[in-house]
Amino acid sequence: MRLTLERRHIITQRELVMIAIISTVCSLLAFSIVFLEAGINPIYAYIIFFDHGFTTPGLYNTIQRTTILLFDTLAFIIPLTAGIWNLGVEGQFYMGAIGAIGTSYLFANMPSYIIIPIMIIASAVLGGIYALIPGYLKGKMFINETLTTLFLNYIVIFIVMYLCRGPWMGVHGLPISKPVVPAGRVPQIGDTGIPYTIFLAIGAAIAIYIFLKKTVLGYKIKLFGHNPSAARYAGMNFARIASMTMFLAGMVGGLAGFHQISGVIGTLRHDLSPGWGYYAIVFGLIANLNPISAIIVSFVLTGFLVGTESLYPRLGMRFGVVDLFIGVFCIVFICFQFLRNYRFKLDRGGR
Amino acid sequence: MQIAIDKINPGELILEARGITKKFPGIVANNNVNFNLRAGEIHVIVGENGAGKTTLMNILYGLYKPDEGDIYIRGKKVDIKSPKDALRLSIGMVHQHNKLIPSHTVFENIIVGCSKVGKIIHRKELEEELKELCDKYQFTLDFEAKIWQLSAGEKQLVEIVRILFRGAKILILDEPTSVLTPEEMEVLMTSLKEMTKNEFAIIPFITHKIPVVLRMADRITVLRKGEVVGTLNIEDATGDKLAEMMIGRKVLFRVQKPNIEKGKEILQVKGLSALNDRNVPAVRNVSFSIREGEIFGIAGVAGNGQNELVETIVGLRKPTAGNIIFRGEDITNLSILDRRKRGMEYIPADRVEIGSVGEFSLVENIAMNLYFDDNYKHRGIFDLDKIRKKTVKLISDFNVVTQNEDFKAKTLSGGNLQKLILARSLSHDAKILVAELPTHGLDVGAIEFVRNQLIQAVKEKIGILFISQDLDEVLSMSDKIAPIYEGEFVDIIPAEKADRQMIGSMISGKQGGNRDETNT
Amino acid sequence: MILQILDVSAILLIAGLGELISERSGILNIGVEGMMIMGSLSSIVFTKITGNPWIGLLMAMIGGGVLSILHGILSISLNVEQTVSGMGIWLFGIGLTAYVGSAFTGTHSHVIPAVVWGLTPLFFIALALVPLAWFILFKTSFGLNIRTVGEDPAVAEVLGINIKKIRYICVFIGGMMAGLSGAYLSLVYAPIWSRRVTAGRGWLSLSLVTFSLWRPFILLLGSFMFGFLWIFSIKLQFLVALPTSLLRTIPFFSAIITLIIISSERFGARLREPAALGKSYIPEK
Repeated sequence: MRLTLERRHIITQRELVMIAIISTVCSLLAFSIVFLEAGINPIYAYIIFFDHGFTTPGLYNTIQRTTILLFDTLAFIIPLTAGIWNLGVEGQFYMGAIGAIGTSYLFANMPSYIIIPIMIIASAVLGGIYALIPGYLKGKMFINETLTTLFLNYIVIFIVMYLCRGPWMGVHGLPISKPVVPAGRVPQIGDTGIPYTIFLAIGAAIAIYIFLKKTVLGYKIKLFGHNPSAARYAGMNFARIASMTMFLAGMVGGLAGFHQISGVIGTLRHDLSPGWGYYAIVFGLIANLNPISAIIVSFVLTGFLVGTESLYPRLGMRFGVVDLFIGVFCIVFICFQFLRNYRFKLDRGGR
Repeated sequence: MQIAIDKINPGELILEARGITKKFPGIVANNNVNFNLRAGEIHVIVGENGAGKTTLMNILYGLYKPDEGDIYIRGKKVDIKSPKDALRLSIGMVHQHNKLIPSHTVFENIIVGCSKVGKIIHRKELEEELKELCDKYQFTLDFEAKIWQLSAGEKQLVEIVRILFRGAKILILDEPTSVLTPEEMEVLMTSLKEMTKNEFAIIPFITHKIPVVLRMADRITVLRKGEVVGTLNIEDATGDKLAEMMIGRKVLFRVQKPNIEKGKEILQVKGLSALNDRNVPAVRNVSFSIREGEIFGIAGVAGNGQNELVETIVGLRKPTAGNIIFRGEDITNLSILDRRKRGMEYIPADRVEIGSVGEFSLVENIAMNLYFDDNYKHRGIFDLDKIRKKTVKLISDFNVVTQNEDFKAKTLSGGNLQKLILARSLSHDAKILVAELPTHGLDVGAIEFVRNQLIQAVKEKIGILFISQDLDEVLSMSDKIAPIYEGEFVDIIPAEKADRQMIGSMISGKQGGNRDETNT
Repeated sequence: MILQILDVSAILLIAGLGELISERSGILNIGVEGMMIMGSLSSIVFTKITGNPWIGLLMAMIGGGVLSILHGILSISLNVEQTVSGMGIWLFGIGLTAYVGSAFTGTHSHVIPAVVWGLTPLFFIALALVPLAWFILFKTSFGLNIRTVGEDPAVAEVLGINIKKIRYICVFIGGMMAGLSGAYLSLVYAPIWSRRVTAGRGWLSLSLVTFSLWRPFILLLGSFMFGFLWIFSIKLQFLVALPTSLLRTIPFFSAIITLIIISSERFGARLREPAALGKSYIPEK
């Protein structure tokens, strides 16, 4: 009897979901090592973890946060469906935030029902343009989009820093901007602290799912993702598709920024996001690039993140535990990726 | 396991394969094959596709292990477990599809991976050694040239020098003449004969080119369906005898082409020139025209610009000069999609990587030609029902064997995939069909089907631009034949006036045609 | 200031050379930034523990190497997509260092002492590595094998070259160099630990590899260009009245511009990249 690895050629949806679940569970198990190292009982830690992430009041925080992560994950998924790696979600987020708060300053005296739609449009457009640049460069000149999108991330953070210390500075001496105009605040659902943007995010996910499944454009995007040569043969234009998917992605990423400004914090700062745009990469991969799965994945994993955040104050764990959690999650995830190409085979021996 | 292969006596039995049998699931590839090779001879092994040549070759080179049988080198039994073992026994192989790195130099490609070279590459000494080697057999090679700059014949030479450098004395050549022009073939044969004077023993494995075989061989072994039909000395061999041994009966598969009345000209290509991916001219001043109901065949050895010409006509490559006029409209600057919308369909040579998407279902593959058609979409949304219905109909009309239309394209066999692609192209009111190597790699049944479909198409007044590397196929299918050599049409000859020898020498650059600049 | 330029250049150079070698064998390692930051923290931690910066340096190299072996196992043996594997390692590197590093935030002593002109031996080692890499790649059989594997593994296989061995070695070298460059960062240039200490320099060295058209001497040139731009963008505020933050975008803008230029037809980066770069190799059997 021998356990061997055999190459596989077909993988079913079910198997992919199984791999996702197994790797998630394993990463939780692996993370318990961190608890042990810190001298904490893992079971106790996980109880607090799940409690904080998935029961009220933490649950509200999770749902609120899911909005951002869902937008971000969608922003990653859309281009990857065409074979393009959008690592610039973080930058598109910040661009969206800039757009949101900037327009709120511009239209400061307008009522909510005028400002908010304008803010939404501005976030989406700014995010879209910011993503369009690397998208176009990739489409026209095949310039590696992983690098260009990443560099744009770094650039926009500096721009944010400038704005916060300069023209949009709030309190003198602090690198935080003036707050968004009160009329620019998206209302929240009751006392939960969850802005209505969550519905925007879920709606976007559903819309994108239908878009990819049913429309001609969605078909073209998928064709490029699977076989660029065949797509060209079929008469499709890569530059156009690359630009379009990235613009769309940037719009969605920008909306995440809008949510953060209008629905949550209300001020622009260079550390607005702890790296959600990067987490979105793993979320998107685990969700297997399916926008509907992304809703579930975003919710569950965001719950994990919120749960992890509680570990720092509640259990006195070191700062950085959230980053570590994502790190462990990622490394376990990529280790399980080989199952996409190989399956285990039980060799019953004998001839 | 070194066996001295120096001090060989000419005529000595240098390699013997006894009772070689190799089975794969469902097929006996080699059945009790006996074969021997003498020093100083060129012993050609002939056989059709599937006769077992590749298997035997791979066994001799250590890529396969025989189920039964043994190999003897100079009388001593040996076990060849890998190409490295083979090389140690002085057996070298030159593959049909070259194993060279295009962006590296000739020098680098020759010495790479050779244990003789040592850790540090001593360029001067090695180049001198190579030069000596080349001079000995009158090979001319520019060691600093990059592989992509070389012709097919020169590339093959590099591979030969590579194994000579590694001390091979027994050379196995896999289809050595398939990419050569007859001129290069002459050069190769002379070189090979020269080498046999120096104790080399050469085994070329060849499929069809019987005239070539008769010219180059000292002995010939014929394989058919995995078995040795016989071994002949050159004096006893004739073309007919060999053909009979190879196929078992005299067979000439000629396509029954009905006489179709040709209509007006639908495609005119004038003075077309284009560069290849390396910015080297690949298409030079090509002009021709195709009428409705006409099959215009381009004959030529691979790599003479056919692919670039097709891409330029179809819209995947920009020309550097010239015009293309399709149904009265100058389409030179139109995209491939615009050309397709106007009725120019293209069947690419690579059906797997370009013509289809393996991961997509058959329906989704058919959609590749329908997504721009307003009949199948409404405001940007697919009418999936209609596309599905169309797919089902096409699958049945064209006899595509599959469980159902939702299965992924990669589950289809080569022949069925080609049928699907053909169906897709012919389903859309095509006016002209550019068919690039349409029967390449297919089994006999599929080949027949495809050819019949093409003939059916011309009956419906579709014009066909037909590119093939099978000379017999081009001769029997086409109404007009254009032999292509180094990017130029040597001539354009009506089928009645063309014969194998004439076209054969034209595609090898040996013979000029009677072309003038203004041609029909 | 010149010293700083030289140091930052060396940091970019070291990581870049490692990645160049790895890419020449066909393996793309996006996790360089993660390995660099791991190297940076490891060097600080182990220097603190042992009191000897050279040990810190060694541990940094080992740390980077270990991570790269993981990347190797995934991409080479298990055919996981290289971009995915690289991203996972990057995020892991950030995560692990953020957590462990929180106990080490702040300035440190025990740096590598300078020897001449204020430069440490590491700087000269970095410079010496350039002709060494060039020699290995272009003048030795091993280097020819590396380049062959990176161009067409199928051909390399037929020639009897051990593809896996070569790729593992190259990836390992890449990881060690990334770790080394992180150590340089923390033990020479800026002995401070913070979560964002690498600040994108790992990514810059990645783009430098493309910019160098995979040639060591051009990489040397590019590293110095960017080292200059990096320091320049920080110091420029004293010369120009533009806000610091905006100036600091200069290196990243420039990186994008260089990528655009090098991908143009004139330079044809796409044509010159190792043909098998980033693709999984599945041997025919």
